[in-house]
This record gives sequence, C-alpha cells and structure tokens, in this order.
Amino acid sequence: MVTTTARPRPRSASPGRVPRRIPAARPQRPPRLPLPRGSRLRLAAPHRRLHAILLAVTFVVIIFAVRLVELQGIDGRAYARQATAQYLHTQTLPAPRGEIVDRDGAVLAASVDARDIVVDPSITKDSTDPTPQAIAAKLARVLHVPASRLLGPLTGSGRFAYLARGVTPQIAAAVLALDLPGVAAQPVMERVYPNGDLGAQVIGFVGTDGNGLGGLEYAYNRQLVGKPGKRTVETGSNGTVLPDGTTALVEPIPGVGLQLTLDRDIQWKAEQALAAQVAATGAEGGTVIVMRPSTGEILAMASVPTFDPAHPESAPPGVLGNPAVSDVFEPGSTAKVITMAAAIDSGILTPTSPIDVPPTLQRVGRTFHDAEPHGEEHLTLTGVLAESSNIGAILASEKIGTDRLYHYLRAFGLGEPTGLHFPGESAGMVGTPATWSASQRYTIPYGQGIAVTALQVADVYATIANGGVRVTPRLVKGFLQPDGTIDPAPPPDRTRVISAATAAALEQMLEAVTTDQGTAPEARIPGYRVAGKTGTAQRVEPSCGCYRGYTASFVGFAPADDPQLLALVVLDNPVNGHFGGAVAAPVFRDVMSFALETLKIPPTGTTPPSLPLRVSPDGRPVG
Amino acid sequence: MSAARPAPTASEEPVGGLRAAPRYAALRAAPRPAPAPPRPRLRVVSQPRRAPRAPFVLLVCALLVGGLVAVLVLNTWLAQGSFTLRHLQREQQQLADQAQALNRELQALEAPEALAARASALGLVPAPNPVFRNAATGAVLGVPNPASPPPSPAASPAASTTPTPTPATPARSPSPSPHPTGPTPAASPHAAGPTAPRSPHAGTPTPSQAAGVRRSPAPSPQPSGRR
Repeated sequence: MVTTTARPRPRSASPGRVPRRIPAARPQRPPRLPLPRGSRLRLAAPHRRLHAILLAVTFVVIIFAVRLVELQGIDGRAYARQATAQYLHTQTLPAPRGEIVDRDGAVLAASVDARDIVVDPSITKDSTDPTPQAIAAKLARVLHVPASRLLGPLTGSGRFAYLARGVTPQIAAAVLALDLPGVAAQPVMERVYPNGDLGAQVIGFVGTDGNGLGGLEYAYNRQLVGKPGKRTVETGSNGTVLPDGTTALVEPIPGVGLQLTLDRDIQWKAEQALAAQVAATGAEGGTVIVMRPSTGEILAMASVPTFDPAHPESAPPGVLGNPAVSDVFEPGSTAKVITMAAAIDSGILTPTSPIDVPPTLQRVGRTFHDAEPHGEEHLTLTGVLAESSNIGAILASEKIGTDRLYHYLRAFGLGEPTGLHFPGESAGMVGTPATWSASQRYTIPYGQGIAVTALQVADVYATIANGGVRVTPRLVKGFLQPDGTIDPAPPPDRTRVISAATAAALEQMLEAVTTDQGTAPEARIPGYRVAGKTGTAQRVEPSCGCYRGYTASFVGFAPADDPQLLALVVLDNPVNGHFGGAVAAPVFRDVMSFALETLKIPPTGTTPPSLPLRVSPDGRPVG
Repeated sequence: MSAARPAPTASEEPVGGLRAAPRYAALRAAPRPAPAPPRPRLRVVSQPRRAPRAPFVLLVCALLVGGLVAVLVLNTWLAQGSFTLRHLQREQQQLADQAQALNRELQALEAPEALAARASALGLVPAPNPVFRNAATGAVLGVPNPASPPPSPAASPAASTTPTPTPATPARSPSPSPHPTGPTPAASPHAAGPTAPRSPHAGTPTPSQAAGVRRSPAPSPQPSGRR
C-alpha cells in the first residue's frame, strides 16, 4: 500500500517542475502548455484512485476479518479438533495388574504383555488372493489352532473379530510377519499362573476384561488393578512419531501386588497328596489346610476338584469356588474337642475324670451308638476323646449343659465367618439352644447337627494349639507396592477362648489320639509328637437332604508340646474306607512331614505324657 | 542544488552572499540589454554515491540459503533421531518380550510340579519323615528311616495336573544343560551314603548313616517326588 500511494507522487511532481522551467528557458514555446495542463488534470485523479483502492482494500480486509472471526472464533474448535485428529494419536498404556506371590516371593499370578490377534472380516471375507482358506491355513500353523476354527471369524460379518486372544508377543510378531490383509495384533495384558492350577481356589481367576472374578483376584481386585496411562504423540502419515511434536505422557500406575501366606511347595504337596488320596478312596472331593497356629497364617489351602485359573471358562460348573471356606459339612468327632474344652475350661471335668460308657445310650426315644460296638467301658475323659466315643461325649455334655456348650461352640468361631474375608465364605450353621431339636441336644456334643467349614475346624484346633488364643486366619501377608516395598497386612485379631491350662490339657489329650490306643496311629510322624483328632461324620447328601456316606477328616498339629504347624484333611464321601483315622490321617502325615521338613522344624525330642485312657471299675486309672 | 538555483522573488533585499551581489547588479541593469552576463555554469550533478548493492544482496542470499540449509540439516537430524528412537524402542520391546518369555520358562521350570517330576526321573524318592542333624553338635533330631525304593520310572506325575506348557517334562531332563544345576544339591547326599536310599534290603541303618542320606538343616528344602 505504501508503494502504490507513493508512486504517483513523483509522477505528478515532475510534470509540475518541468513547465516552470521551460517558459523561463524557452519562452517561445507556449503552445505546449496544454500538455502540462492535461497532466495537471491527471494530478487530481490519484486521490480518487487512492480512495477507491483504500475502499477496496478495506472491503477485502473486512472480508478477511469476518472470515477470520468465523474460522477462529465460531468454528475454530471444530477445525482444530479435526486437525489434531489427523496427527495426534493417543495410545492407552495398560497398567500391569499386581502380582500375587507366595510367602517367599515365588510368583503365583503375574501379568505379562500379550497380544490379541484380530481381523477385519470385511477385508478377508471376499479376499481372493489370498483366499480366506489360505489365510486360515497360514495362521493355523503359527497360532497352533485348527484352521477350521479360524475360518469362522475370517468370513464373518462386521468389521472386527478375534482370531486368538492373549498370545505371546513372539507369536504375534510371527503372525504380522505373514503380512496378511486385515489381520492385526492389539497389545493387552494377560494374566498367567506359572504353576498351573496350584492354589487356584485361593488365588482365583480373572475375566477377559482383566478384572478378578474369583478368589483373592476378586477380593483384592481394587488393589490389584492399576490405573491405565496414556501417551499422546504427533505422528506422521506412516506412524513415525514427529520429533518436534508435542507429546503428553501419563504414566500407567501399576497395581498393588499381594504377598500371600501360602507356601508354594507345601501347597503343592497338599494338593498332590490330597488328589492322590481322593482318587484312591473314590471320594467326591476333599480339602487340606495347613496353617501356623501362632500367627493364623494359612500355608496351604487345597481342595479337589480344582480348575485351571488360566481357563476358568472351561471348568465344570460349581468348581470355581474355594470349598475350604464355602462348603459346609457336619464335623463329627473333630467337634468333640469343643465339648471337652467346655468341660475342662468350666472346671467341671479334668482329662482324667472317669466316664462310664455303656454299650448304647437311650435318650429322647433314640438309641445312640459308638462307631464300633463295645461292652461297658470305664474311660477317662482323655479316653473318650482318644477312642472317639459318642456316648462318652454325650455324657460329658450332660454335665456341662447346653448353654455352656453353645457358648463354647460360638467362642471357638463356629456359626460365623472366620474373619478371613474370603469371597463366598460361609458362616456355617450353629443354631441357638432354643432352636435345637430334642435329638440335636445329644448329637451336637459329638459334632452332628451343626455345619462348619473346613477352615472353621482348622481354626478351632489352631486356637487350642496356640494356648487358647484364637488368631484370625489370614491369607495375605502384605501388599507389594509399585516402588518395591512391602506394606505388611494389619496384624490379626487375637481373642482368648479358653485358658492356657485348658489348652495345654487338651493338647495332651489330643496327643493320646495318635497313640496305638487312639483312633489315628496312622497320623504319627516318627520322632515327632503329634496331637490331633479324627472325624468320621455322617454326610448330608445335598440332593436329598438326607444322610448318605461319610465325611472323613483328621486335624492335628505338631510338635504337640510346641505347636508350630497345624494341618487339616477332609475327604468328602470316600468309598474305599471311610474312617478319618484310616483315610485322612495318612494324608495328614504326608503333608505335615513335608511341611515340617520344608520349614525346617525339628522335633522337640521330649517324651510324650501318658494320660490314662481307662480307669478300673473302682475308679483308679489304668495304664 | 538549491544554491545554484536563482531566487527571483528576493529581488529588493540584498541578502548576504558574495556570489549574489553581481547577480543583483545584473538585474538592476536588466532594462538595458547588457552584454551577455556570465551565466552560472551549469553542470550535471552526479547522483549521490550509493553503497554498492551486490554485497548486500549476496549477504542476504547467503543468510537465506544458510538458514534454509541449517533448518534442513536440523530437521534431518531430528528425523534421524526419531527413526533411531523408534528403532531402539522396537528393539527394547523385543528384548523385553524375550526376557518375559524366558522368565515364564524359568517359572515353569522351577514350579514344584516340574522339580518333583525331574527329581523322580533321577530316581530320587521323598523322605518318609523329616530328620535333621544339628550341624554344630552332630546330634540327629528325629528318627531316621530308610526311604522306600522309587516306583517304576514310568510313573511320572508330570502330566496329571499342570496345564501350563512346561518344558520340564521328564523327557527333556536328561539333556546336558539341566544337569549341572538340577541334581547337584540332591546328589550330594548320595555321596555320603550311596546305597542307603535305594536298596530295599538296607535293613536298619545306623543313625549316622541314615542321617547322611537325610537332609541336614543347612541345604535348602527340595520338593520331593510323589510316592
């Protein structure tokens, strides 16, 4: 603009100067005056032209300004969005789910990078070179699945289908190397369980979306899932990240890991010994629990049947739970110890109190028997427990009364969840004495007529082993923070249930069970003092609600005089033999031996006491 | 230029200036045709000297070209860095994947199931009951018993429960690589009492003999095979 307005000036000025000089120099040339006069007329024109140009320029500038306001102010955001969408790409960075490790840090569940192989069927469906069949054949070789299973997704409708989920990055790279049309790989996090089905019922499993659906994976899902991050980058048309482009990065926050109290080796041994015995006895299932009575830490918790946590969808229905805490059964003789504890803790009986056990006992129109027929027997309270006499337990309970028995049943934790907070945990069933039927009053002392979980039984004996103080059982030892530190889990609750003296007396009584006179010599471990109790209970058949078959169990701890470990074995409906001392005690011995060895717990080397089991008819104890 | 030009309007007043005086005299004598007064000599005024343009233009061009080249080099360099970054990131990813795969393989190998299978493939049997020897006093804790002979080699519990693709099948264990690591801790007790654990007719070994084939508290516990 400056140049256009400046140019006319010299032109109008020079004609003005020339005429002035010409008359002076050459006055004889007036006729040429009209020419300067004409140019003088033109001198007025630039102003108008200037105005016109100015007007035009203003007009154009106004148009520009209006358009500018329109683009930047009114539609600006939409255009900016369209533009950024072309070169800004946001990638979600999946947060790894927290690991689950055993007490020594051995990995039980971990998240690894994996790929989903996906396809756009609209590309492959009508592809002629290669044909869908050829694509399927090529993929089948890399993915190790039958080609027929791939043909469905390849020729389906829509624009997205999974060909394989959770394959390793190496396999995904091999798939991409085939350079097949429409086939791509998506990064995902895959949950893996390096030990297969080890501890599956405790650890649980996750769904395809990566959220826990069972076991501890479900119970601690909130801690285990991390927070996904995202990365926004400017990319060129070929996907290369522009070096000078803006990049926003939100780091993913990994999930918090769980350190369990489980010991991988003991867990394996428990599962393996249990599975072998379930197969050998033809039982429908079974449970093994190993725990430390002093801390409530569960070292092993195994049940049969189990499932593969990596493929929960292929498990038969009903096996995805944790039977050790969710399945209830009538405990049978293992509950007699509560009757004994009530009697001794109340000061009514002592381990050597004589109890005359008749062959049968008539109560409320029913005849009660012992497991094996016998004549009139003169037992001590210890003898009643060691020989597992139902009649003896009833007679003992009559001395203490139903209210007191109920008090101790509840004090030992029956009829309420243990405080483990495991999903699906059952409280069991212990009615108040007012709701007890006439016969229940006599069956509950020996463990029929109440329902308990395996963990509750283990908890009762752990309380006795721990000197009468009940410690809330637990499976989680600590939380593995992303920075590598471990937050210990809050300490368990401790409640005194029976006096230390009562607990010590019960320990000695339970040791008599594993003597040759007791019901479970099979549970003995050479060199160790082992205390325990068998259980052979009538089993409630869920289909008919009637008694059918048996629940065989053994629960015990070692060393008896310094209880370090407790183990419980329950077999559900064994066919080849059904006595707890015959089918469950050997499993206890195997698992306990292994656990003692693994945790390097030597024998105490003390001599076991010999409490008299029988008394002579005149009341004197006999060896 | 202005000095050379006559100022016709300033006729009356003798404005100072030596050169002006003769001109005023001439003007006064104008009515009379004077013998051609000496006109001021006109000469072509040369244009004011300008600085030569060429160096400046060259300088600007050079700066322009230089700047462009610098930008080009810088961009190329950055792009090169971007490609290197992408390449290295891909390599890092590959190595991470590889490490992960090897880790998984290791975890499968150290699973108790796999260890037990390899132990039983080597003819090891589980101890019937734990026995310890106090390293300081030599006292044997527990009752040593001879281990039962291993079952037939075919009885391997490997395939029964583990669904993971574990490479630690018994078939692979005789390969040379696992040998130096695997059996070493388990094999050392054999040196102490080579015949005791295997022979069924070992009879009643003395405590010290049997303790030799048992584990002392010092070595790390090793999962034992299934009976």
